[in-house]
Amino acid sequence: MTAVRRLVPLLPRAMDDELVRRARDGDRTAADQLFRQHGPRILRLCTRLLEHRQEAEDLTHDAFIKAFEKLPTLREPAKFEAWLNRMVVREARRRIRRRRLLAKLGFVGSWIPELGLDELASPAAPPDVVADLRRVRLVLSRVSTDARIAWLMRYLEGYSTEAIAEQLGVSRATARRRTREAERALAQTWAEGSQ
Amino acid sequence: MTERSEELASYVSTEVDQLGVERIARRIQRTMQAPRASRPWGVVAVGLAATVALGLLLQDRLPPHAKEPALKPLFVRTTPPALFGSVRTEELEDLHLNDGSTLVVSADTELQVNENTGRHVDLGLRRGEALFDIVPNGPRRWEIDAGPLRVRVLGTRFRVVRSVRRVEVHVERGRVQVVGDDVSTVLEAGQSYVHELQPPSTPEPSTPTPTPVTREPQGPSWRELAERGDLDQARRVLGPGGIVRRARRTRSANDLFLLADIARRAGTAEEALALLTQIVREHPADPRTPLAAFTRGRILSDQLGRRVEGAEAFDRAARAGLSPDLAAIARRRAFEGYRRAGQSARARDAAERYLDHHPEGEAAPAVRRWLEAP
Repeated sequence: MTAVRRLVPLLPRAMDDELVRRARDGDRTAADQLFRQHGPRILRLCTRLLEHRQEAEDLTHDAFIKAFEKLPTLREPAKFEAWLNRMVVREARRRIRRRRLLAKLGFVGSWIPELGLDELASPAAPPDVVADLRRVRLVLSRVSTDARIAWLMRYLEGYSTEAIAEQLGVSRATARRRTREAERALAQTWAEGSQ
Repeated sequence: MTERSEELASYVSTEVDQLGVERIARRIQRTMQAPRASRPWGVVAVGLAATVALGLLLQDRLPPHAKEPALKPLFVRTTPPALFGSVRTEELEDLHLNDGSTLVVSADTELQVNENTGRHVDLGLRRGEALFDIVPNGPRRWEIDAGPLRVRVLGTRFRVVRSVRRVEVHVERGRVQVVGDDVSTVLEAGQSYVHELQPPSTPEPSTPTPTPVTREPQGPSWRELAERGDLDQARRVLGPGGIVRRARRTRSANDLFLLADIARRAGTAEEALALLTQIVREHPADPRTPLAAFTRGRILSDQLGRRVEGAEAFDRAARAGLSPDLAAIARRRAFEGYRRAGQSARARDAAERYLDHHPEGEAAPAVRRWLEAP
């Protein structure tokens, strides 16, 4: 199996910078450009985090509305992407934690994960890989929300530890610890599966 | 571990739902246009609307997958998935494997997994009866050791019964090779082979009429009662709390459907909902699951009055592979659910989805009128 490392598309800082300034001044197309450049990636991130199409669309919509409203408070326009990501990841974390709490309280019928990793597998993925992705999804549903998010950002989104730390608002050591928590749980599952 | 995570992650699609992106663009546009004193974005909204049509979309590509990964052992499709291992059943069990094969293991049967690798599956039928429906032309060589007989699968569906008196092999589809101390024969579809153990006798291939396999008489179980439509009696046999207890223990989609029928018949909507939710969650590949998703929508909307959740369930059911007629009903009901719940934005999205998929649908004129209304 060939491992394909994910590369986060990096947009030129100057472009974000310029678009944010123009959008702040009421430019008709700059805000749309910001959505067009970041919206697809944010929607994909939300889908992976929330495992639910409609919730992912809701969160993407809400995040951009909030971002456009708060643009005047963004001190460094060149950091729009990281600022937006931070907003999205923190809101997703809040929603996942709330969902888990509801599930603990017995509201099982209110939400069904419909787009887990196995359902998001590419058509080229063989059945055994899909089965393993299903196991990953289940293992991640049992580790802490923070560990799950850190693992998804690290392996699916291709973020570095530094970027994960920045977006979760934690230290690098904490970000690394959270990723390792998920990895340990997965390692245990693989070990059990191979016995 | 890290490498394995990277390998698996490389198989997760990077495709973006472009229709979803468009829907969000339209929602942002509508939100911005909505009157709100503190929102200075009316002009930006016009810009968004203007450029939606330009379709300046980011295109992501699937990663290349040059090499075929190593084949792994088989897993049973359960939640959580379980490594396909030995089973000893008290009741009939369906085992759906991740390669698409299915084993129906009868009650009071012991099936031992001697080997389960990417190339070879070797099972030992110690006692009882099992139906094997093996996906043909797979990468694995399947063999069933039934004591004096060994069955080599050449692709397909067959039944093996082992008791203290005899071993029987009945082929329903495809071919199997039966090998014993004094026999080696290939059975075609419709043929059976019976090996008598007491008294000893020479086994012979039978005519193409398979011997019917009967189970030990045990009195009607809840399952048998439910299958013959006597849902009230099935509920009595299960006893108080029996549906929930049974649902927790079973891996069988069929059992869950029967239990859901019993719960619906008894009018316990919450119980039926929980069972249908379990089906949707644990058996996404079952051909009956889209209908279960649709029924969830009906229970949520019609019996429990949870309109938004009902609408979401109908939305999911429509995407899950319903027949075109039912999918049209599901999309219409999703639209109505959101509309009645006062969720205008979601109702609008649902209405657009309905018209996209069913432009000539029965409800299309009314949906269009609603969309065009001020």
